[in-house]
Amino acid sequence: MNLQLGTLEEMILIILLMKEETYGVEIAKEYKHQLNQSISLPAIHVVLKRLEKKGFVRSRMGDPTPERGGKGKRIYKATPQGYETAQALQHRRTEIWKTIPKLNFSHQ
Amino acid sequence: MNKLPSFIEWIVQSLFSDQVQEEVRGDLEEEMHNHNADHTNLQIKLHLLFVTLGFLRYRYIWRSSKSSIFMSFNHTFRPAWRNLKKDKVSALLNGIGLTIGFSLSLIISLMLIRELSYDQWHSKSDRIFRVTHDEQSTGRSNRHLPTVGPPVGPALMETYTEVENYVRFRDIPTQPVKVGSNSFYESNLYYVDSTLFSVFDFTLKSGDQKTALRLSNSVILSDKMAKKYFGDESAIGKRIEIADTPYIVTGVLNSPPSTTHLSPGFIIPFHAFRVPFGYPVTLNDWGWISFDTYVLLQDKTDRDLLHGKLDEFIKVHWSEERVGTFKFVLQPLEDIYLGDVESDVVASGSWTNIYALSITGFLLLSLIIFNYTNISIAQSLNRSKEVGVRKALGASKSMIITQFSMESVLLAFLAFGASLALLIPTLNLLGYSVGVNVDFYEILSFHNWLIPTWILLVLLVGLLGGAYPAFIMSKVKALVALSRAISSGRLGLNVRKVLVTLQFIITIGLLAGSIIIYQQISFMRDKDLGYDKSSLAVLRVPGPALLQKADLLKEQLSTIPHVSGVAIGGGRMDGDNGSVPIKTPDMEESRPMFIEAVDYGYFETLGIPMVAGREFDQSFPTDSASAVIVNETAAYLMGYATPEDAIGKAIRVSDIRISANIIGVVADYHFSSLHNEIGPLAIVYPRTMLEDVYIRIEPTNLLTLVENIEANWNDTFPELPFDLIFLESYLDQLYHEDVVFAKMFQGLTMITLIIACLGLYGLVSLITTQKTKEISVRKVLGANLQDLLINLFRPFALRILLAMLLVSPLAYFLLTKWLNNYAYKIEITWWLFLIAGCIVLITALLATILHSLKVYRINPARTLKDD
Repeated sequence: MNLQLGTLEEMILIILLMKEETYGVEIAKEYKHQLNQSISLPAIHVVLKRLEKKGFVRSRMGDPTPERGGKGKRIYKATPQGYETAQALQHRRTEIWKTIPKLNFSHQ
Repeated sequence: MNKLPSFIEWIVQSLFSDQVQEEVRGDLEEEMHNHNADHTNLQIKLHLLFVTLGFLRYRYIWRSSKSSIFMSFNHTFRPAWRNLKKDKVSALLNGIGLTIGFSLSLIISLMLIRELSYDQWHSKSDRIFRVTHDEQSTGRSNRHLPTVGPPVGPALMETYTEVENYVRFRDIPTQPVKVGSNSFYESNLYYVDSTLFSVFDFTLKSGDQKTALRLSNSVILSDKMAKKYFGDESAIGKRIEIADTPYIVTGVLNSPPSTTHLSPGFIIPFHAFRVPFGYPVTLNDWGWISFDTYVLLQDKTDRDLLHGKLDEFIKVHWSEERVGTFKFVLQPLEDIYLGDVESDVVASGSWTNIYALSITGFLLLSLIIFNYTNISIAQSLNRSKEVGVRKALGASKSMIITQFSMESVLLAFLAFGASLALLIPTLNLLGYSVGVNVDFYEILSFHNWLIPTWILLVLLVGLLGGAYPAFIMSKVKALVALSRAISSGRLGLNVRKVLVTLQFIITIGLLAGSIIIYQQISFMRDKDLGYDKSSLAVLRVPGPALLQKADLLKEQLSTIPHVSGVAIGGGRMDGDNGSVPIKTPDMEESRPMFIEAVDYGYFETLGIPMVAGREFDQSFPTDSASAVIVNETAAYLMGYATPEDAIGKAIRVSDIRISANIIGVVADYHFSSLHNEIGPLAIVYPRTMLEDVYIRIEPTNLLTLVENIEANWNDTFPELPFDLIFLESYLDQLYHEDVVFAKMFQGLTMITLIIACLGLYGLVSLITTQKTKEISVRKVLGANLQDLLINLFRPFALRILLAMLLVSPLAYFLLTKWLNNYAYKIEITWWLFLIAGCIVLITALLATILHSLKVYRINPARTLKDD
């Protein structure tokens, strides 16, 4: 099983960790709010499915709500494994970032 | 919108697996709610469709392939798609033909709908009527005016309970408008009753509908005008001057849909209207027929009821001698644009164009179906083996039919998609090059049945095109198909011959039509108008200003180098003349004649000869009060045998009790567009009616000349905007609609010719493939290319001849009808159809040569070695 994370997968996993429990449409809203960039619902769903396959998120059917015309939604929640992977990724990135020479003006 | 559209429900249900359906639906509903606030229904529907189709990209949510829809999808679409990919050339030929055809049909249908849906956007449009003044049905004259007197509207509302409301429009001719330090000439100015907003659906973008027309110094601007004057600033409260009277902007109109016959640029409250100085009438004058009056009825059926009562109404308000000379007719709002009550103030369309458009559109669409059938038959004949194998493996007749139809429907939809994608750029191009403005989104938002209709039509075209090959292929016996006997058979050839002949008929007919239309338009452009229209510049000056400085201006302009003559007239030769009843002592009763005002020296400068007598002269002081010149037509209408007889006779203008003596008869010249015959014209000499300065210029650098004239103008009238036109290009505008029509028709003809050639190419390719062996044998026996060509081409030539004979009478009939729109028209000659036929013949010959060369080059040994 592939435990690597794509950029979009990682972003959505982080949103899931932030929200504890959430679902497709809300993720789309949060994504837009955070990144100022809109994303289509189908794209989110496919990423969620992939994450679920990799074992980073769990899902269950939630209760119907009126704004969904009385239809239920699939609620997603990140697993401890998802949390660890995301955290490891952040750590590794911070480590690498630290190695960039400080006060290097040529990049500014 | 608070429920998912049913087509979305259907897609979800049929495509997605049961486990995810609820999820997907829930998502869609939420998406819909999120969009509801700031999007139109159509936009939401489209968005939902995209999202739903987006879900399709991910296979995990698809219905398992056990479901019936997927079964048929796999078994029909997959092979169809594969076959399209396999034979790319025919698919491309077909696809291009279909795309062109669909694009054109889409555009034509949009244009037709636009023309037919004028003014329907008003929510009460079926209850709004314009009161018109009809003298045609009473036989008194041929006038049917769109206007009535000012008291009619209010009186109707007071007298009849059926009339719920009324609104009057009084059109103001072009006026100078001053904003800050800039001045402009503007038209589309109206005095309008404040009931405007309760009758029509015009709305204000800014300002208050209730109070905007309360004060007599208020003015409402159209969105366009507000932008022009104030840019992005708010126009409200700004001051503008119209004809030196100050007004305060109290409102800005929302731009109405383009399908409106009324498009006011400036609206001034009706109560601010004052009778212009010198008019012998008052606002209580029932006979002052100059006010567009619209009434809103309680119910649309009240119209007939009211028609019956209006005779009584006339009896109450008019003197006894006027009763019976005219009638009031309530013209439905939706009929005004295409109606035959002429008015120069509002937009109007023509039924002729609509008929011509729909006929060509229909012909084009049938041509495409024919062509499509032709090529798909050719294509299918090469696939008899495939059908044989399918049949041997147990495919039934209906399965073969479904397969072939599916292929053709699939191609039709691909082409439809392409033409939809091309639609907006094509419309922009059309608007830019021909001046046809069609707003796709606007039309779609009023007619949402369009898309389903189109899809049905595409389905129909696909089925019709695929039906014939599907049926003939399904009939083939498996054994025969596999034994390759059929590939050289003559299957479907007869149908194809008929179809090709039909194509020729359509093409020759359209070609003849476009030749005639072209000839008619150039005839009108080149026709001698009775005066020299080239190198004439016309300067417009508002009447009162000109009255003071006419002689000064004339003198100053004449001193400019390369100006060879200056004269002053009262119009721009565009037919904007009034008409009055005129009578001479020798006439039984008065006849309506057109009126024009000119200054002395006018006819000499314009190059119009006097047939008898003299023109107005400064040295005869009585001219301005009691002299009149008539044109030849008028002289004959008055009953004089020669123009000389008319000289010195007195005439009376009955309504305004003016009498004058005829001092001259001028040769007939066209003072209005060539759509009308030269009417009787009486020319008078009061300086109050003059407003156009004609300047005859010699060939020179026009730019410097215009600069000189403008410098001169700024000295004489520093306050007024400079408005100079060149008469020749101005007159071209009168034929703008005809030119647009001609251009479109020519474009359509070109395209039909191309499509017909594509079809012909397909047919020739089939015949040559079938005749490969015959040709090879002939070659072996010594035939050269020429013999071969004659052999191949003879049947086509005969068919083109037949088509020519068949189409000529019909085209002759239709073209004669079209030409009857023009007073001055060309004759249709018999060789016209011969020319059209020859053009088609030559193109057909080219297509044949192209293909037969290919066959001719094949080495006979190669094709004959099998036998």
